[in-house]
Amino acid sequence: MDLAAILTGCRAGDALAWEALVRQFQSRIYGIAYHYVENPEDARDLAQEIFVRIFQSLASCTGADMFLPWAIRIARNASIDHLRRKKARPQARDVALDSIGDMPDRGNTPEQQWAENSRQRLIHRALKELTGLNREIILLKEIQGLQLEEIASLLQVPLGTIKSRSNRARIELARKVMALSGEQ
Amino acid sequence: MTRMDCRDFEDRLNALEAGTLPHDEQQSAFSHLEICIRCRALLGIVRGETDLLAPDAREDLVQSILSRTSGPACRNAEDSLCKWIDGTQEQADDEMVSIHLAHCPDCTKLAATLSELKDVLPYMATLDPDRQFTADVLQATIGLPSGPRWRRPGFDWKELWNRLLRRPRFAWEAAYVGTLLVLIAFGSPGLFPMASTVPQLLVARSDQLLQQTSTALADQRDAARQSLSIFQQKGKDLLNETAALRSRTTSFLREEVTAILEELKAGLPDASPGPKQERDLR
Repeated sequence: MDLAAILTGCRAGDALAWEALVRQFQSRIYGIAYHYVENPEDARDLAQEIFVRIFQSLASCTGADMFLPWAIRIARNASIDHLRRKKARPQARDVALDSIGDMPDRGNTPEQQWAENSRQRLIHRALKELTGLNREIILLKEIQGLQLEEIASLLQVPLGTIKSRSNRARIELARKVMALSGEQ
Repeated sequence: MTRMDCRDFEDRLNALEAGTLPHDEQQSAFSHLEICIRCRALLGIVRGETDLLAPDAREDLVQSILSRTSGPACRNAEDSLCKWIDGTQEQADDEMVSIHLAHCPDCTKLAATLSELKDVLPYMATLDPDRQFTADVLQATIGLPSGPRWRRPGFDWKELWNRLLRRPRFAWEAAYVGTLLVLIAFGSPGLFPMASTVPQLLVARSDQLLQQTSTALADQRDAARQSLSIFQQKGKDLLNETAALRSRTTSFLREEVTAILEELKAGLPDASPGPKQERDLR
């Protein structure tokens, strides 16, 4: 369904349009939340909080083509707030990374799906080992598909820095993946 | 057509390859090639058709040359690998990277991993939450009393305050603002004229309190000294009275005992006590 029509409906207070928007973006928002908090339960709560923020400030999103960067900005800010709160009030336990739910399949056989999921878990672990900025660049550019200009604006980092760091971040991630998988 | 030997052929090899050799000399060169195996091999080497080096030896030679000149090109290849995978650089640069990859196993592995990541990472953008998630989000949003902004005619200050309070940095920001206000109030006399006199008033009031306290302490010290001297005097008087009373009591008892002894001596002349008994009676 056309995102512009959904957003128009949301602005008109149409609950059906809002539900459509939630269903269309819940996997992506949950994915972003998970990438930051690395815990399924926290990611679920955080994703819900992100949608509440989106709901409350949807009027400030001007166009359909700007919705995704705008939503990702809200998701990132909410995730950072969540991490700060968690840091201030450390919890007693952490859920292991392997407890993550299955990644979305691409219509493969169960064996192929299992192999892909384990590979993605490995990439998750490699991502955890990256420096903060490189990790966010990978998350926003390679995973979420944002443009370099949008990332520079979101991270409040000069565009030249993002350009120069993006390829280095990919190389660093590839080397971490190779090291974790014993290929190096 | 003149006959050509090996030396003549070698002298004219460059011109032959460049196509600038005169026709008759060209014919002589071809005639020489027909009978000379060595010069045919030389021509093959010059044209790149014959390689005298084995593949391993060739790679060793390249590595030796690189190590004595520019060093390994892996770092440069690494810088271009992402663009090579994305296909976003010039064809000539692409070809140079391809040549390097064909001979560098490490960079080939890295390129393969980068290529895999390029395919896999976009699929990691989404992650399905549980089925109850949508219902929970709808309940948490549609059921909100505040609702979306476009439904509210006025600005909700209470909501804004609650949101501010929920922010994790609120306490830190409040402390910062408070410190800033104190600095502005006491550090800028021009901004708040009264603010500059406050420290002076505080100092004057402190001095006054200090003086009053010291005066009161001096009065109390004098009173204590007076009380002490009175006690000392009373004590002396009491001691004197006690000594006088003791003296008077002793003389009275002595007189009384003497009188009794006199009466006893007068009534009993035969039984008068000896000197020892008289001393014991005393």
